[in-house]
Amino acid sequence: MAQQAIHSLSLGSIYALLAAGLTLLYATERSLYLAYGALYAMGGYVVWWTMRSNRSIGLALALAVLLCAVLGVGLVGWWRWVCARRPLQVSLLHGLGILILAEEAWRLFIGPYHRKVIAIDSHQIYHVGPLMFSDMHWLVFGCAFACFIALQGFLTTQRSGLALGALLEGKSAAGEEAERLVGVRAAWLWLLACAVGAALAGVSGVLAGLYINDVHPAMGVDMTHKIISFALIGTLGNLRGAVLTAYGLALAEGILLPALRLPLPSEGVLLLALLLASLRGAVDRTNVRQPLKLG
Amino acid sequence: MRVTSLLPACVAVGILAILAVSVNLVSGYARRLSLGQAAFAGLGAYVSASLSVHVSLSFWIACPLSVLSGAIAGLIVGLPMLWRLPYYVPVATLTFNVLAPHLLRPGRFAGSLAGIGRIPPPRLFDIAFAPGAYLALVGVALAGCLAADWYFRQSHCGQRLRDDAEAIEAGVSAPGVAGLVAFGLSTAMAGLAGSLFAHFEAFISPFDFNLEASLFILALAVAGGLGSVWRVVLSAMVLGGMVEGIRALRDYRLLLSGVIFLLAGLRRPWRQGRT
Repeated sequence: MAQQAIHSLSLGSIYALLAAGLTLLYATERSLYLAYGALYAMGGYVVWWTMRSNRSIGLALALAVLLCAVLGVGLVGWWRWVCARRPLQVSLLHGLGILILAEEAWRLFIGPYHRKVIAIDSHQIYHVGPLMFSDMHWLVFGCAFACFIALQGFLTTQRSGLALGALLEGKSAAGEEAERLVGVRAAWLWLLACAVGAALAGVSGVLAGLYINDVHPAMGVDMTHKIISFALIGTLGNLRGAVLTAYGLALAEGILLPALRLPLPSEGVLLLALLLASLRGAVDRTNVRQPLKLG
Repeated sequence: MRVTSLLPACVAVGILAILAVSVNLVSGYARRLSLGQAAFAGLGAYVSASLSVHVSLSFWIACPLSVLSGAIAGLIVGLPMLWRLPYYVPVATLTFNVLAPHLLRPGRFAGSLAGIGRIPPPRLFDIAFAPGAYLALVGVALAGCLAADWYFRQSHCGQRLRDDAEAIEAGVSAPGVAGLVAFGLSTAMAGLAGSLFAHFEAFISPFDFNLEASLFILALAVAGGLGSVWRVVLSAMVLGGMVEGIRALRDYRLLLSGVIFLLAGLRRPWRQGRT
């Protein structure tokens, strides 16, 4: 059971990074970005390429952060430009189109195959009492912990972070307030939120590639329903709620369902949780789309 | 490119048209994108096939039961449409579409590991339906769906969705009971399409009802213009006919859906007032 909990927490860390990143993007756009999974797949392919070229995991992480941040800013910028003043459902549709085309692009350029990132016998195993930790467990926990500490520090101590925190809390005029009170320009805030949100997807993709050891073109599409469900169940715009939901689902997937011997995949729990949270009306605090004004 | 025989392709196009009409009810009129229409069709197909194969029920009883199962599943999944939650339907239907093949694949609740086979065709006066007769049956089913669509549009629910379209679209107003009725009707139609598919193909597997199929159905409706049922049917006939008729194009269904969705962002995909 404890060993299973470690596995669940590792998966939960990957999910939580994605949920946090999507929530940051939501803060500026007030709309769910369905193409977010494409950035996660990008992270997966970056680590596959890096490990294949016998380069270090550190380089994979750095490359994924950089590439995903740049790509994320470009893609979200394009999406924002196209879907400005369009209804929510149209922006969802457009995001879905980008996600599908990204999957097809990977299929076309890299091939439709599932790729192994790392040889299984290359794992270092550490024993802590009766528990076994592989180097990948430590890597996932370490990276997720470092990301969350850095994010928390940024959101609570930096001027830009405080302004971003105000955006997350649903203050639609936070961009203007930030510019007036602390001198942080709305455009910079938008850029920052997009870059950090996309970079988190890249880190998550790298960790998933290494930990799950399976990279394929559909990995972004396959993860999308989970990421957006976490953001919704945790209440849209609520960073802590999204992260806790991600860990909660991973634990339910790894511990609760096997313990209860329920023949349900994790999506069953996810749909049930989504239904219950929605019936309580707790999934969305701000229904009207009011994206951050960039001046 | 090899052109497959005409009748099976026509039947497949007819079933696609029913699914496109069904997705138009929820995505076109109720302004909520349904990303899991194939899963509801899968549910209907498995109910109908299981009843026919394992309980030896006639198609004429199994098919209405599959319609009923689709409607019940839709009403349960769509219940939060009563609230002002613009993201709920796309996210819940997407999750349902990922969940459904998982439930059906291992044969936990229905069928075997691979799927359900030897599904009997419908029989009338002890004569099994030939492909030509089946095409007529699908045509009648499509006509029934179009009639239901027309009746819904004329009803109080349809009127309410039409009046509040812009507010619902913007997320300011909830589709409410009218939206839930549209969703239930939509999933019932999907159940019907699934039943027709199962009894025509004689073998079904969860792979027939995956996310790719759902996205393609939505793409057909979006390409035609959501909210305009005749355009949606025409789009299903033309695009669906191309993909079903030319086997080589089937591998590009997802790519086609992606392009259609991407382009839909450049214009307003709804055609209000032209129905």
